Amino acid sequence: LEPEKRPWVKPDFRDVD
Amino acid sequence: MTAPDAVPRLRRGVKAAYDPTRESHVVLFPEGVLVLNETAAAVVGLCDGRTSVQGIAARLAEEFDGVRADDVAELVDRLVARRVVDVDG
Repeated sequence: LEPEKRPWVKPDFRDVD
Repeated sequence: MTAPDAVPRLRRGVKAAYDPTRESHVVLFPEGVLVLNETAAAVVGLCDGRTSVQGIAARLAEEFDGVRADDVAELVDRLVARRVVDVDG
């Protein structure tokens, strides 16, 4: 008888290009 | 670093969206475009002016395994530095 959690990845962003 | 009880929100004129061309979540703001990874997009989606950094981490812990509140605070710091997020508190 819970959806599987996704692994945490450090949040990041980049400027385009 | 941004305090755990600080409440981030997107600044006026800033929009979070999904870019099908890049197949990525992006933040659009007057000075440019930021391309977010999955977890950053999840954080930005909760920068609603009502949820604290700690609250964002707690909400994300329902979806992700191993969420670190410090990572959330650090991302908010960087978004504040880029002038796409304001912090109350």
